[in-house]
Amino acid sequence: MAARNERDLVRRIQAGDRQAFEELLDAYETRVYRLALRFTGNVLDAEDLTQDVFLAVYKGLANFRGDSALGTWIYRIAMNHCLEYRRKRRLDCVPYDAQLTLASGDWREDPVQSADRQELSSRVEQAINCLSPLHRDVVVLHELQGMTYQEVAATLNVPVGTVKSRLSNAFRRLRDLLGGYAMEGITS
Amino acid sequence: MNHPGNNSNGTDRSERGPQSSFWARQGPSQEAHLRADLKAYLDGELPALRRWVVRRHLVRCSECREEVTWLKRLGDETRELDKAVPRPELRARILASLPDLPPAHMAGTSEPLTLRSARGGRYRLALGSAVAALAVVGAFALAHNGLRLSRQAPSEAATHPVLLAQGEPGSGAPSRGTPQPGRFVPGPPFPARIADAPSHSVTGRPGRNPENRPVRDPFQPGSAVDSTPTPHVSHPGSAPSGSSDGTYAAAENLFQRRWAEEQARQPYQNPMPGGNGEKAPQKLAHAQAAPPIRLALAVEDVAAARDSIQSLARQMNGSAALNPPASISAWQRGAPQPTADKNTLALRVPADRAAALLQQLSKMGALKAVRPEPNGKNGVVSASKHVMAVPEADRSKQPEEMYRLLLRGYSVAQPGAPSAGNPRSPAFVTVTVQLQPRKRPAPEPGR
Repeated sequence: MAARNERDLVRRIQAGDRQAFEELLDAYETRVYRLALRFTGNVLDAEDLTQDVFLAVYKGLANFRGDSALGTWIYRIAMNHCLEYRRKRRLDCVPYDAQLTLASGDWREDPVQSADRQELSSRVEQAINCLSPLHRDVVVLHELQGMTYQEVAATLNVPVGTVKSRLSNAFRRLRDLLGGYAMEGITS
Repeated sequence: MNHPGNNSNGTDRSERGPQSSFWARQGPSQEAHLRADLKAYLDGELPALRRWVVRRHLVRCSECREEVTWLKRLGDETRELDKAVPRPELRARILASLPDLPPAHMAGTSEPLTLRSARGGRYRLALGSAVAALAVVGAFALAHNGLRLSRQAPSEAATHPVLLAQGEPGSGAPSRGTPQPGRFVPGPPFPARIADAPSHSVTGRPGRNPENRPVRDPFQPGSAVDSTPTPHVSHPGSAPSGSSDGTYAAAENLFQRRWAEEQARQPYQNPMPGGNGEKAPQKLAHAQAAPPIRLALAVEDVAAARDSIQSLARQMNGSAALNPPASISAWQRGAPQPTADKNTLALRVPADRAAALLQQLSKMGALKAVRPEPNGKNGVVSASKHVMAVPEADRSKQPEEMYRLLLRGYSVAQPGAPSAGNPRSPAFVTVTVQLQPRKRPAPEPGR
C-alpha cells in the first residue's frame, strides 16, 4: 500500500469511516491471521488473537503518527499480542498441528500434489516449531510473511544485523532438524 | 555438510584445489562470515560489495553452492507453507467488536507501542523483586533513622528534610507531641486497615489518590466522582456509606443490575461446544488434523476397478490420481521412483461424500483399512499394517458401523451427515486406495 494511500486511509479511519477500516482489513487480515495461526497452532485461538489485534489497531490509530509504515506498525501490535500469547502458554516447542496446512486445503486440487504438500508441510512445520522462539520469529516474519530484513528489524525492534544472523542460524538449525531427510533430494 | 572452513574433517586446506589460496588470504574468520552471508545473499539483502565477494566465492566453492541450493529450496518450501485463509465469520466478528466511537475520540486508550519480549515476565519479576527488596531495606533504614533522629536535636534533624518526619510541625502528619532531645518519641501505630491510614505520608505527599484526581465510576462512562471524601452510591441493601465494604457492595449491586439488564437484552451464549446444553461433539479439535484414509481393496479385475473408482470420484465432485509416489515427499520428487505402483489411487472428495464413497468401494470388493506407521524408518510414513478388516459377511449386515469405524477420528461420525453443525470438520477427505487382485481359493485336490 502506497504511503499516500496509507495516510489517507488512516485519516478516514480516524474520522470514523468504517468502510476505510474494512479496506485495512482487506489488506492485513489474512496476514495477521496467518501470523497468529503460526503462534497459536489452532484456528480458534488464532481468530481470537486476530480480533484482539485489530481491536488494538483501531484504538491505537488515534495515536498513529505515521513515523513507520502502517504495515510495520500493525505487525508490531500483532507481534506484541503473539508474544503475550506465547508468554502465557510457555510453549517452547509447539506440537505440530496439521490444521495449519489442512485449513488451507482446497479439496479440488490434485490429490498427489496435495498429499505431497501435506507430508512436506508436516516436516517443515515440525522443524520450524522446534526452533527457538527468537529464530522462529524471524523465519515466520521473513519467509512466511514476506517481510524484508528492515521490516523484520523494525517489527522486532532489533538491528538488521541481528535479523540476518538469526535467520542464517535458524536455517542452519532447520537443516539439522530435517537431517538426512532434507538432504536426500539435494544429493540425489 | 562439511565446509572448507571447518577443520573437523581433518583434511588439509592445501588439498582443496584452487579456492584454498583464496581462503589462505581471507582467513577462517572471514570464511565463516561468508557462510553466514549466504542466506542474506539469497534474499538480496547484502550490500553490493559484499554480494560481489559472496558471488566470487560461490564460483570457487562447490560446498557453498550446494548450501545455497539447499537454502533456496528450503526457503521456497517454507514460503509455500502459509496458505491459511481466515473464515469469513472472522471479519464480521472483528467489525462487530469495534467500539462505536471513532479512533480520534479514543486517544489515550491504546497501549504504548513498545515490543514486549517473551521473557519480559522474567524481567518484570526481577524488577519487582528488586523494588520490593529496596522497599524493605528503605523501611528498615527509615525506622532505624527515625528512631535515631528523634533523639537528635531539632537543628541537626533539620538537615535531613526527608527524614524529618513523624510528629514534626509542618510535615503534614498529625503531631503526637514535640520531640525532646534525648527522649524517645514513638511514632503513630500502624493502621489496622489501609482505609484507616492517614491521607498523607511521611514525605508530605498524599498517600492515596496522589494527585487528587477524580475517580471514575467504571459503570458510568463520563461520570467523575471525587474521592475525598469518598461518596457512596446508595443502593438498597448496601452497607453504610464511608466504609470500603459498603463501596464494594454498592459496586457489586450495580454490576448485578447491569448484568441483569444485559441478559434481558441479549441472553448469554456459551461459545464452547456443548456449552448451551447440547451434547458436545467428539474430537472436534482433530477434525482437520486427520491424515488420509488409507484403504486396501481386493478386486477381481484391477484395471476395471481402477477406471470405475476414478469415474466414481469425479461423479462425487472430487478428483483422482493414479500412481502416487511411494514416498509422498516433495524432497524426493527429484529422485527417481524405485517402483511405479499403478494400482494405488489417491482420491479427494468432499467430506460429506466420504461415506458414500466408502460404501461404493465396499461394493467393489474386500475393503480393508490401512493405518500408516508414523514412526517408520527416517520418519517416512509407510502403510503396511492392516489394523482393521471387515469380514465380507459383515459388510452387508453392518455397513454403517464399518464406515463409522473407518471415519472415526475424522469427525465424520455418521455417514451422510459428516459435517453438519461442525464448522471445524474438514471440507474434503483424502483417501488412498491400494488395489489388489483378489486371491482365488486354491482348487481342491482331486477335482
